[in-house]
Amino acid sequence: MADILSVLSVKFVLLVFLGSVAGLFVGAIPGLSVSMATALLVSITYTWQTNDALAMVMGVYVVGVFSGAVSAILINIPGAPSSVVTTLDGYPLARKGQAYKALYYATIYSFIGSVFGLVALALLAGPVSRLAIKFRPMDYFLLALFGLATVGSVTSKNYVKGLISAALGLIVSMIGLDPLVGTPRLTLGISQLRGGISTVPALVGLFGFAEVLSVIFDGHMSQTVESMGHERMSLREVLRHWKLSLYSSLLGTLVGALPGAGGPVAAFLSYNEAKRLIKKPEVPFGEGAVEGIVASESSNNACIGGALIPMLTLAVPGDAVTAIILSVFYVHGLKPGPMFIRESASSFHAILLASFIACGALLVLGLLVAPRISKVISVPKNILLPIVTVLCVVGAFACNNRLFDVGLMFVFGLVGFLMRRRGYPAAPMVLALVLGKTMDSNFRRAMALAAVADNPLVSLFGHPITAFLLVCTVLVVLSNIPFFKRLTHRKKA
Amino acid sequence: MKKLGIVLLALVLCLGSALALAEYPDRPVTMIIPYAAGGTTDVYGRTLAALLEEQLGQSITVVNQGGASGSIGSQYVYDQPADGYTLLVCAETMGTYRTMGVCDLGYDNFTVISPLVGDPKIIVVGKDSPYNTLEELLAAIKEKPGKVTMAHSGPGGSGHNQGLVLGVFGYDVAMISFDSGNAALLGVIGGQVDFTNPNISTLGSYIESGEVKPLAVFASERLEAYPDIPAFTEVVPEAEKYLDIPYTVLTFCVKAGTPDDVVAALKDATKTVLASDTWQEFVRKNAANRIFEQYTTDEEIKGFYDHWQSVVCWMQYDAGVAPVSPETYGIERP
Amino acid sequence: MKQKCLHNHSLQEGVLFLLLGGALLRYGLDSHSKSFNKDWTQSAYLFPVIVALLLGALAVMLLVQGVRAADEKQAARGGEARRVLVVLGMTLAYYLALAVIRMPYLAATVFSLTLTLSTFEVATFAFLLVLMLYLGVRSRKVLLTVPLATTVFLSVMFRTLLRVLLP
Repeated sequence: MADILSVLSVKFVLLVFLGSVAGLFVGAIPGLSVSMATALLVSITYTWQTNDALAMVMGVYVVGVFSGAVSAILINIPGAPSSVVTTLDGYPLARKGQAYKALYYATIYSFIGSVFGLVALALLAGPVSRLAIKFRPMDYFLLALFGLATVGSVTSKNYVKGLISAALGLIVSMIGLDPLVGTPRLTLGISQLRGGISTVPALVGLFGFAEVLSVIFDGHMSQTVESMGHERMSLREVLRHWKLSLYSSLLGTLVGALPGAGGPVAAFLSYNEAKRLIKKPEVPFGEGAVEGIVASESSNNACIGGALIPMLTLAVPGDAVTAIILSVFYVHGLKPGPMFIRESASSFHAILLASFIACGALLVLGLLVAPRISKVISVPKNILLPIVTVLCVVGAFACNNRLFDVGLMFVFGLVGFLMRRRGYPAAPMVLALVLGKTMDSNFRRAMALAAVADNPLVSLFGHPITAFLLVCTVLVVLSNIPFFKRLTHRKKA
Repeated sequence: MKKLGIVLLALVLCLGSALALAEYPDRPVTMIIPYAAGGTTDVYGRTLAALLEEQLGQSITVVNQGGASGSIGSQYVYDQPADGYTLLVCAETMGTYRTMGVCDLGYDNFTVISPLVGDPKIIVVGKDSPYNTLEELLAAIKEKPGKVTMAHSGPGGSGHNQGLVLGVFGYDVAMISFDSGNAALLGVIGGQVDFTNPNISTLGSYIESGEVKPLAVFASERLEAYPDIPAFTEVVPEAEKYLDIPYTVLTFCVKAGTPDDVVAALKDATKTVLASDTWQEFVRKNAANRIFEQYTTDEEIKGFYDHWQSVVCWMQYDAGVAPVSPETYGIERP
Repeated sequence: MKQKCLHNHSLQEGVLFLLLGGALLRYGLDSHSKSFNKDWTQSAYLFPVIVALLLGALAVMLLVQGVRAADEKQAARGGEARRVLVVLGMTLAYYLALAVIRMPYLAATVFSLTLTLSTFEVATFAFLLVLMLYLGVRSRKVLLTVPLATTVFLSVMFRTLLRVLLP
C-alpha cells in the first residue's frame, strides 16, 4: 500500500483530472474518438515523466469510454461502438424528457463498472491472462458469431432483419486487403478502399448522419421535448440494480480481456443477458428501460480493466485504445509482458492509481455535467442538426486525414437512413464491421490448424471453451427462430 | 537617381534569393507512419520524430495511416508534393509491394534519408514444447513435412519470409498467418502452434519469464544481449547467404525528387539524432540491429536495398507467395 | 395479386438481398478460381462465399415472411423526401467545396491560440448558415452566432489543440 501511494502527488491528481476533462469532451463529441486523443497524447507526453504521461492517458481513457454515452443518450449518436447499446434505451428515455435520469444512471453504473474492472486488474491479472491465452482461433470466431447472433435479436423485432444487417456489415468488413494473404477484395478498383473501411466513418454515418436525415424526413423541426423532468432520484432507488450491474461488469471484464472482442461485444452480451434475466422491467426494453443502460454502461466500462490485463501481462492490446497506450509504454522504455507487474511495479501502481482517480473524476464530472448538458435535448432541432452534420464531417475526416472517408460517411448515412425507414437496425452492421476481420482471419486460421492436425474435427471443436461457445451460439439462434419460440412458450403454458 | 535604382534592384534581388533559399523547414512538418499506433514502426518513428523536432526547429506532427501492409500511408506520402514537408518511416514491406501485387510503389519511389534499425528475429517454442534445440525442431520438420506449424505475423512480412528461407533448405513447415507478431507469439505460448519467430522487441520478457524457449537467432551471428542463444547458421551453415540481411528493416525516407538541399538538411539533422545518446540508448535497450551505422553513404544505402529486394522478392516468387515476377520490375536474381 | 407483391416491402428487400448474395457468391467463386492459391481453407474468398450463402438464406426467409404477410396492408409512413434530397445536395456541395477549393492559409494568433482562416472555415460557416436558413431558423442573432461559434470552436480545437490536418 505504501509504495502504491508513493506515486501520489498533487501534480499526479491534477493530470488525471485534466485528462478526464479532455476525455469527457472527446468521448461526447461524435466523431472524436478516445483512440484519437490518446494517439495525440503519445506525442505530447513524449518528453514527460512516465508516471505523468500515464496519469493523463488513463484519465482520458476511463472518462472517454463513459462519455460516449452522453451523445448516445442525448442525440442518439454513440460516441464509440461500445456505446451503441446505450442508445437503445438511453435515447428513448431522453425523448420522454428524462435525459437527466438516463445520464445519472449512466454515470453511476459506468463508475461501478470501471471500478469492478480495475479491481479485477489489480487482483486477478495473472489468472485472467492465463484464461485469455487458452482461447483458440476457433473460439474467437465463435465469440464474435455469438455476439452477432445476440445483437440480431436485441436490436430488432424481426430477427431476420437483424441478421441481414449483420451480414451486410460483414460484407463491408471484407473490403480491403485480406488479413491473411494480402489480396485485395471487393475494392472495385478504387485504391482508397484497399485499406478497408474504418469504423469511425461507418459509425458516424450510420448513426449521426442517418439521424439527421431521419429527423428532416419526419419534419418535426421545432418539436421540443414535452417536459424536462428533473425528478429527484434517491441513490438507493438508483442502486437497486446492483446485481445486474455486477453481472454485467463481470461479463465486461472477461470479454474485455479477450483481444479483439472488446466493448461492443461485452455491451451487447450484457444487454441480452439483462433482457433474458429481467422479465418484467418497469418500462419495456427498447423504450427506455434503465436496466438497459445499467447493463450496457457497467459492461463497457468494466472492459477498461479487462483490456488492460492482456496489454500489461501479454503485451497484446485488447482494443484500439490500449494499442496506443502500449506505444506510450514502449516510447517510455517500459516493456509490458509476463514480468511487467513484478518488474515495473511502480508503473503498474501508477496505472492503477490513475485509473481509480479517474473513476472518481468520472463520478464528479458526470454528476456535475449531467444536469447541465441534458438541456441539449431541448435545443431546437433546426439548430442542432446542422451542427451535428458538421461534426460528422469533421469526425469522419479526422480519423484518417482523408476526404474519402467523408464521402464514405455520406454513403453510410444514406444507407442507414434507408435501413431505418425499412426497419433494419444499424447496430448489428456496426458490430459486424468491427468484428468482421477478426472472424475472417480466425476462422481461416482455425481451418489451417485443423488441416494439418491428425484429427481435424477434434482440432476444431474438441476443447471445452469451444464447445461451450458453440452451444451458446446455437441456443441463441434457435431461441429466436419462431418455430422453437412457440415450442418453448407452449411448454411454459 | 540611377544609383538608387540599382541599389533598389540589388536589394530586391537579394530579398528574392533569400526567399528562394528560405531555410528548410520554415513550417511544421508531417511524419506519416503507415502502421497503427503501438507497433515497432510507430515506436521508432515517434522516437525519431521527437528528436528530429529539436534538430529541425519545427514541430513534427506524427500521423498514423495504417492499413494494407503500410501501402496506404506510403501512397499518401507519394501523392504529396516532393518538398520534404511530408516524411515517411516505412518497414520492409516497401520492398515487396510490387511483386506481392499490393501497389506500384517501391524503394525507388522514395529517397532514403537513412536506414533506421533492423529488428533481430529469434526462433522460439512454447515452454511445454518437446523441442529443446534447433536441431530437434529441424529434425521433426524433416520427419513430418508440412505438419509442424509455424506462426508468423502476416503475408509478405518478415516472419513469413523467414519461413520461406526454411523452405529453401527443404524444411517444409505449415505456416499459419496471424494478425501481428505478438498474436503469433501468443499462439505459441497458448500451445496452438509449434514455433514462431518474433522480433526481439516484441519478445520482451517472455524469455526471462520462461514462457518460451529460445532455440536460435535467425541470423549469422549471435546477439550481444543474448550470448547463449546460438545463431541459425551454426546449425545450418548453408543458410549464410540468406542471413546476411536483416528481415525487419525500418527506413526513414521522403518522396523521390525532393530538392537536394532539403534532403541534405534532413540527412544532417538525422545524422545528429542517430548519434545522440537518447537514440543510442533506445536502440541498445531494444537490442536492435544498427543498420543506420552500417549503411551511411548513398552507394551503401542503395546497394543494401537493391540486394534486399532481390533476395526477398525472388524468394517469395519462387515459393509461390508473390503473384508477380520480380523480373517485371527489373529486379535481378541474387 | 401482382400489384400487392410489388408493393410488399419484405418481398422487394428479399429479392434485393438475394441478388446481392448471388453477386457476392459469384464474385467469391470467380476470384478464387482465378487466384493462384487453390486451397479453399486458406483462400481469401472462403469467407465471402460463406457470408454470401448466409445472406442468401436470410433473403429466402425474408421472402417467406413477405409471402405470409402479403395480405396485410403496409402503410408507408409519409415523409418529406424532397427535403432530404435538398439537404443531401447541400452536404454534397459542402463536401465538394472542401475537396476542390484550395484557399491560402491566413493565420492570426490571439492569446497563444492560433485562429486560421481557410477553406474549411469559410465553407463550414456558409454551410451552417444555409442549412439553418433552409430548416427554418429566422432569428438573425442565432443565424450569425451559432455558425461562427461552431466554426471557431472546431477550427481551434482541431488545428491547434488536436493538430489534425483540416482541409
